Amino acid sequence: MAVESAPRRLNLLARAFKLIGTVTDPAATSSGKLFHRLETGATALLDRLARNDTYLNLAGRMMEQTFLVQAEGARSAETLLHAMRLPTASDLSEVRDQVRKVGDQVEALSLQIEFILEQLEASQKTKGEGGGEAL
Amino acid sequence: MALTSSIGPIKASVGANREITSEIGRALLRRSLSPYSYLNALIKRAAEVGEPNVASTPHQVVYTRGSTRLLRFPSPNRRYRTPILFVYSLINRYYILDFLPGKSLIEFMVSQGYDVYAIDWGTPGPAEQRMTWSDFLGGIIRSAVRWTLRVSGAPDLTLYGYCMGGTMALAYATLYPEGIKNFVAQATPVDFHDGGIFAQWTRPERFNVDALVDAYGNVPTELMEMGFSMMAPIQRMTKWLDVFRRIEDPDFVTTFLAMERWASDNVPFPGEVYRQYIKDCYQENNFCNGRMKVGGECVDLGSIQCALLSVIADNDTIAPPKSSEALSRLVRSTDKETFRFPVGHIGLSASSKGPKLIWPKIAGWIDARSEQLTKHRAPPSE
Repeated sequence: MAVESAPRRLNLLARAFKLIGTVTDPAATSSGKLFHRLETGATALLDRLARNDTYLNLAGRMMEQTFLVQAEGARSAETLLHAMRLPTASDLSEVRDQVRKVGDQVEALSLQIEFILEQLEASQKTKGEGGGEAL
Repeated sequence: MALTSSIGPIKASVGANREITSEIGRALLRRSLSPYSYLNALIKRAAEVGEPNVASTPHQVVYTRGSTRLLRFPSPNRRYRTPILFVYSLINRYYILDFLPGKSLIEFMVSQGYDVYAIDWGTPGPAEQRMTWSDFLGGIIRSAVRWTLRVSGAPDLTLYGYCMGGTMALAYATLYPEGIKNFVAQATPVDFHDGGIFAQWTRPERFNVDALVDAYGNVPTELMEMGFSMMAPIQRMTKWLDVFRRIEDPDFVTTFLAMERWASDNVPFPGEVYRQYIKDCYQENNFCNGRMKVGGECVDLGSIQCALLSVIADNDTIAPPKSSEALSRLVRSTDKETFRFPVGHIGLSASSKGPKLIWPKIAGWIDARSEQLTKHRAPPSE
């Protein structure tokens, strides 16, 4: 026999969310229909804006200026730090990059050693089986 | 007695409220744009659900390099010798492929008997800032392929790229075709002139990628987040009303929160890779024209000869269908197929259609092209 579970009693927070959900639900309330119309209108407007060349060019220029100012600020700070013979963020990046490259080289070397070992093992096996060619 | 028994719930309530306040406080301090940062704790409290159980398929780390990890998802009933290696995008995290139990593409492939591997790029930091496409392809992906073959004991594999990970994996397949038996390109942009709104936003006259990378090194998460918010700013907010309406449905709430958690889990994009990605792909469309160079070598999609499956989402706005359709025209493979599904970009990996409609079809395609494990040959140790 199937036991029907009673609907869970919602806590206060859940009821508040549910209320917001209901008043903005176009299928349930007239306020929801109005909200839906507003949402559709705003979406269309922003979509047009996001594809508008004039707006995009303007936004692009503003972003570029922000990036250039940021880069210039960092450059000036580095010049000052270098003048005081102090290490800078780009020096650290340089060191990190070199450490990474050393790590990569170690890995490449270990792969080569493994490859040579595999070849050696294979050639020894063939020798043991009755004399094949070495490496 | 009654007093002591009523103290417990009050204490718990105070503790939960403090947690909510501190989570919202942290989001404010980070100046987060994502509604998830502000609403997650409140919704969890209202719906009385816990943290979504994402990325729960059992796995081991078989290889690490910098922030990258190669994860292995061993199959308890392995049927195929040919393993699958997932290459995910550098945007967001890999675990959309291992979403929730019963809704995970990786879990599905494991249950089909595949030995599955996935590259988790981790969170790139300053050490990854100067890494190039050459470092990622010839260094990390190449090592991941080698380790996958070594651990699985197979001579070749199925390379499964998703989104930008698909673009990277395709470039890899053109430069290092050894060991690739099959290729699955899921929601992979190829012809970037049909790249949708991102192509429009990143035109060279309005997007100075050099200035961005020179200013920040790695592309900050806030900028990535802003870009995605701009795609559908209103829906990004109003979709939360759906979860308000269905607050009494714990399954719906959990899936929704898991998806939002993944979507807001942005990671910095390695600067030099981003610079070349924007220039060679979006701005000059060199990727599909054979003009993109990685480590001095040309990325020529025409050199791909392995079996190829292109998986396209009809409602994809990130990798629009037109952008992905170009792939089958460009490769030299004779065994090539395209599957289309009526879902969006993420829907291919995390929708209810996944386990019923999409993944069985993809698994069927891979099955026909994978080597089966013979009974007398013992699989490599798990």
